[in-house]
Amino acid sequence: MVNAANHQARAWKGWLREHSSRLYVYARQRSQSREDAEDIIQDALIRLWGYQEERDNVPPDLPLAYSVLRFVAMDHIKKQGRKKRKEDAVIFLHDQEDYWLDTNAEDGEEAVMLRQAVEKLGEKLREVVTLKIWGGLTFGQIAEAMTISPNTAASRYRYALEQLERKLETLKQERLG
Amino acid sequence: MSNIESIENKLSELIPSSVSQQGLDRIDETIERLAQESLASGDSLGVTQLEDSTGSNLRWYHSSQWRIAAVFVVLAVCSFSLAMKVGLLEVSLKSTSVIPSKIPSKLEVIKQPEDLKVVKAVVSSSNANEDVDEAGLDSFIPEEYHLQLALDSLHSSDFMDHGIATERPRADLYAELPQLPYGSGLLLKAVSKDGAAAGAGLQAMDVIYKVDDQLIINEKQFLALLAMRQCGDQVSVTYFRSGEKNITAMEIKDGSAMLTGSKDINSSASISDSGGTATLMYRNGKRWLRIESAKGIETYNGHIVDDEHIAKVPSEWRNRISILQRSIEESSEVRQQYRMRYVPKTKNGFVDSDNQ
Repeated sequence: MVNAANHQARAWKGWLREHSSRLYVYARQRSQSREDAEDIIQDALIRLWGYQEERDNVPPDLPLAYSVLRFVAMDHIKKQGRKKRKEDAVIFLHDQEDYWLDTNAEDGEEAVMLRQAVEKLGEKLREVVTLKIWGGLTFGQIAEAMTISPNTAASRYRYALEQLERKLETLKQERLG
Repeated sequence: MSNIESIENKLSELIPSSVSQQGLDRIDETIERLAQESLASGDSLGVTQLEDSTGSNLRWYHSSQWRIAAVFVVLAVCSFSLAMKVGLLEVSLKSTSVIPSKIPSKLEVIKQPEDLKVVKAVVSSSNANEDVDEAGLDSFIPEEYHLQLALDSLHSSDFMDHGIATERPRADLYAELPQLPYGSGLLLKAVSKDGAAAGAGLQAMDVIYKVDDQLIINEKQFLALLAMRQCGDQVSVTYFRSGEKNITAMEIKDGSAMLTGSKDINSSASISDSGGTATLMYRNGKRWLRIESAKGIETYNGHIVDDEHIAKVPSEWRNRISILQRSIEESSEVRQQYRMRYVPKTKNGFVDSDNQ
């Protein structure tokens, strides 16, 4: 029995090691800081564990994990909003080193602008781009995770890339003059 | 290649940040705890099997089955008593025993002190490889381990300490310095007095752009270039000051001596309410406060070094300077420490049962 529990824990840890980066980048683009993103992953994991108890406690598939992560992230944002409304004043800490997308040394300025453009994308579009580019999901899996049709996922992705192209051009022009 | 494809390629070249080691450790701990709770409640496997000190097996079936059975029993008793009340049924209660008294419920078993020891023993033995004692019922990781993790995280953050605060030059700076290759160089926002940079004569607002013959692209690459050198080595640093190119020799010191204090310099905190927003930051290593009213009018913008400066700050914001200061300090401390979060206790978890 103890061995079975250890085996489950090992399986989940292995699953987490394999997918932590892609889950993190999704959580991070929906949260304000690294710490919040890690909290969201942890809370999502607890929920996923509960769901998987009915399925012999095997680690979940990715669309389910993203779907749960999405709801936990939304809850987290709502909680933050409620806290903010309750307080007289709110303190914001700005950590200028805490980027969720890093740039290659060689890419320089353009990569920084692209990062800014991604951050300015609307939530629905940014989500699809994140899941497709850094999450490695197919449009079918994205559709499953976000409860939309695969065609909607594909069109959002294309629309996001078009917007990014335009935003990048605007940012370049702003920088140069 | 179409523009869309080119954007797609550029996006895939961006490197997403990943979970910190501390975060992974914390989530691993959560998984272990969930596995242990499943083991204790027997939910995941349907059967909980405990062994007492004599080696005989004590077996109880899935707890949720008993919950369902209990609901049926209550419903049966209620309908039975209702039927008797309305006179539809006349049966002597003495002859009907619907509660399976011989089979103990899980809670009853755990309430017994001896059985509690059995549960504790099983939990302890399941963690024997990780040196967890009986206190592991409340926290599976012993305190010494927490402390070690905190120390590890402090140690690993040493590299991030630096005594020069830098930022990437903006486009207008490149226009003013045509000799500076576009996309390279770092503007020194502040230089600490004790650092190697100050020893080499570098000052705030200098633009460094070469270490030996290597162009500086960003801060990470700059730190990597320095990290490749041995302590005591000399490197030549090329920089611009007032539009003129200069070269200086800098001696590499150990990380803490050369690079101190930028975590404060790189952080800022702001506080907002209906009256406006105050932002505290560091400029040239000194506190700088900017206050803006709700209508966007700037009411204070300057250093906060001594009492004279503080006296000039609008009175309603004065007592908040210390709050902002503390927030920055605490945030930089908290980010270096191991953040421990616990899995919420479950209704069926042995932790609740233990407290009864």
